[in-house]
Amino acid sequence: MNPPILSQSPAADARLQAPPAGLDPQAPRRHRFEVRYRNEQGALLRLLNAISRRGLDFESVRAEADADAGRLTAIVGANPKHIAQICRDWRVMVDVIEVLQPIDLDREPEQAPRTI
Amino acid sequence: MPKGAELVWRSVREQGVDTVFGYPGGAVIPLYDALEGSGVRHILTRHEQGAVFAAEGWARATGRAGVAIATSGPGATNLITGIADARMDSTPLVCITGQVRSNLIGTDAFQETDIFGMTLPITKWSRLVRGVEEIPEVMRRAFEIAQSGRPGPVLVDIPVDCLKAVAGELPPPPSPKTNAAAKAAAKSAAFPGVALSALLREAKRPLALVGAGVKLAGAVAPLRALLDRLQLPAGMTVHGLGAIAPEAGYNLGMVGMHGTRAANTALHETDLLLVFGARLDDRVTGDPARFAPAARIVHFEIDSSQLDRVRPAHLSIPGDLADTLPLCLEAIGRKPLPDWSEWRELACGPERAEMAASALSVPALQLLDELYALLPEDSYIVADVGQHQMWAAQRYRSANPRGFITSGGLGSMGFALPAAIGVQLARPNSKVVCIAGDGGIQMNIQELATIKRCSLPIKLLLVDNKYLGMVRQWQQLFYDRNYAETDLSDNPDFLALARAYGIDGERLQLDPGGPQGLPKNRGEMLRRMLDDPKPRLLLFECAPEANVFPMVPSGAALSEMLLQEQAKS
Ligand SMILES: Cc1ncc(C[n+]2csc(CCOP(=O)(O)OP(=O)(O)O)c2C)c(N)n1
Repeated sequence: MNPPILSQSPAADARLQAPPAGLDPQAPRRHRFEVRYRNEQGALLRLLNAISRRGLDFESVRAEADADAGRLTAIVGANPKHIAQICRDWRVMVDVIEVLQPIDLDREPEQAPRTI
Repeated sequence: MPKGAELVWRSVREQGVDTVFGYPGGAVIPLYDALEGSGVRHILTRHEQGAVFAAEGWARATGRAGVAIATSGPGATNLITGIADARMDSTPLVCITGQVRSNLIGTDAFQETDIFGMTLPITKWSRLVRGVEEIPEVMRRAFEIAQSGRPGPVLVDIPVDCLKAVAGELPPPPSPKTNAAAKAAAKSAAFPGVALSALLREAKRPLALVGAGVKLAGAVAPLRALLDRLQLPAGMTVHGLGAIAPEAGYNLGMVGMHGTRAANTALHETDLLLVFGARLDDRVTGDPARFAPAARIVHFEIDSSQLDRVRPAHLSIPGDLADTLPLCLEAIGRKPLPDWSEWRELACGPERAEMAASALSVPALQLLDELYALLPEDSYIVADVGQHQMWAAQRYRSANPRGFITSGGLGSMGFALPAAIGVQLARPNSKVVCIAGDGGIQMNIQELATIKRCSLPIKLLLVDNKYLGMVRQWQQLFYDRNYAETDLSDNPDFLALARAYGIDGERLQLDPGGPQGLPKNRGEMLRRMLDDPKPRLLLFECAPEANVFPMVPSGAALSEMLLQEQAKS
C-alpha cells in the first residue's frame, strides 16, 4: 500500500487530460501509459487487467524488468474517464512503485513522462 | 524439521487466528493430516462457498483476517464468489488453496486449475508457492496485506508437494515491520485543517455520510466525537450502519436506493458533503451525475483509488481514518461553528424522519422492530440479499458498529447463513440472527448441517414470500408485472427441511385481523426463538407482493425516490 498522502486538490488525473480546444473532451485518444512495479508474481497481469477489464484494446505493450523493478509501457486508446480510473487502480496495487503521467500521443508525441 | 503443511498451520496460529473454515480434497490432504495438534480449529462446511462466506463472517465480526481452505480445481473455483465479495466489501480474507504437484502444473492435470490467474482481478495480492521454504514468508505477507490499508482478500496457492516436503533451512523471519513510517507520513503531512474549517464555516447545509471505512479503521469513537461536536445531519451506507449512535438527534439512517426519505432528501439538498470511509457506489449515489448536486465534497478515504471516482472532491483527505478523524476534530477546535440548527431540524424533523406511514404497515417491518427490541446490544444481524435485507437494514437501530453484516458490494445471495456461522464462532456469547429470504437460503442451505454439527445457537428468521422478492419487485414496478422466473410457490417445506438437519422451528403466518397484520402471539414466537439455546428457525410467511420502499429506481436521482403510495398509483 502506498503511504497515504494528504492533498487539497481534486484528482490530478482529471486536470491532466484536458484535450486541445475544439476536440470532444470525452472521446478516446491514443495514450502512452507507463508504470514501474516490483516484478513479482502476477504484478504485470494485474496491471494489464486494469486496462482490459474496461474493454480497451492494446495498440502495443512492452514490459521489461531489471534487478530493481519492472517497467510496463502500453499504448491504448482511452477516454479521460478510463485514464483516470486506470491510474487510480494502478496506484493502489501492492506491487506498484510509480505511475507516470499518461501521454496523449495524438497531441504530444515527444513529451517526456512525469510522475503523477 | 517441519513439513510445509505444519508451516502453514504455524503461520496461521502466529497471526492469532484460531478458527479456519474449509473443505478437504486430494491436494490439501497433507494440510488436514497435520491439523491435529496445530492449535487451529477447523470448521468443515458443506461447500467451499460456505467456507469462504463463513471466513468473511468471522472476519467482519473480529476485524481480523478470516481463513478459508479449499482443494485444487473445483474446490478452489468454488471460493471465487466469496473472494469477489470480500474484495467489494473490504473484508480481510486469506484463502489457501491446494494445487496439483509442482511438476504437473501446466499439464492440465486432474483437478488442475489456474486459480492464481482466475483470481488476479479480485485479489489484493496472491502467490503460487514455489518451494516449501517460501511458505512462512508468503503466509506472513498474505496476512499483512489482507489486513492493512483497505482490507481485502489474498490467495495462497500451494502445490501439494510443497505441503508434503520437509523444509530445510528456513530464511530468518524479517525484522518486524510496522507501518509506522506510513502513519508518521500521514500525521506529519499538513492536514488541510484550514481549508476544511473554511468549507465548514461557509456551509449552510452540511451533511456527513458514513461508510464501512470508519469501522474498518476502528475509528467509530473519533467519528462519534466529531459528529457530536459538529451536530450536523448524518447518514450511513448499509455497511456504515451502527457507526452513528442510534439515539443521536442528527442520525438520518441509511442512504441510497432503499435509504430513508430523510437521508436521501438531505443528500440532495446538502451544500457540503463530508464523506467518511465510503466509496460512493451507485446504490448509494443513484445517478452519479445528479448526486448531491449542490454539494462540495470532502472525502476521507484510505483507498486513494476511490477518491474523485464519482465526482472530483473539493478536498480529498486520503489516509487511515483512525489518524485523520482526530486531526479533523483538532482542526475544527473549540471555536464556535455556524448555527446549523434550522437545517438540522428540517433534515431530521418529523415530516421527513420516517417513510410514508403506510410503508410502516408492512408486517415484516413491524416484526423486525419487535425482534430488534428484544435483542441485547452486542447481538449480530447477518442479512442475506433481497427485500428482507433492505427491510432489516432500514429498521436496524443498534449501536454495535459491527452488528449488521451483509453482502453489500457484490450482493451475493447465499451469504448470510454461512457468514452467521463465522460470526457465531467468533462471538460465542452473542446472539446471532440470520435473516434470509426463501430464495437465498436455498443457495447455501447445506450449511444447516455445519450449524448442527457445531451446536451453534444461530437464530434463522426466514422471510418466505414465495418469490425471488427483490427481482419480482423490479418486475412489478418496471416490467409490467411480468414475473418471469421469480415464482417460488413450490418451495420445499422449510420446517421439515430444517428438522431433517436436526433443527427445530415454527411457522409465523400473517393474521389480517391481528395488530399490523401479525398474529398476537408473535412476541412469544420471537422469544422462543431467541431463548432457545439451540439453533432455531422462525419461518415468517410474508405477503408475496410486499415491497421495499422508499426506492430510488436504478439510474434515477436520490430525490426521485418512490414512496409507497406513488408506486401504487
Ligand atoms: C448469487 C446471486 N444470484 C442472483 C442475484 C440477484 N438477486 C438479487 S435479490 C434476488 C431475490 C432474492 O430472493 P429471496 O432470497 O427470496 O429474498 P427476497 O428478495 O424475497 O427477500 C435475486 C435473485 C443475487 N443477488 N445473487
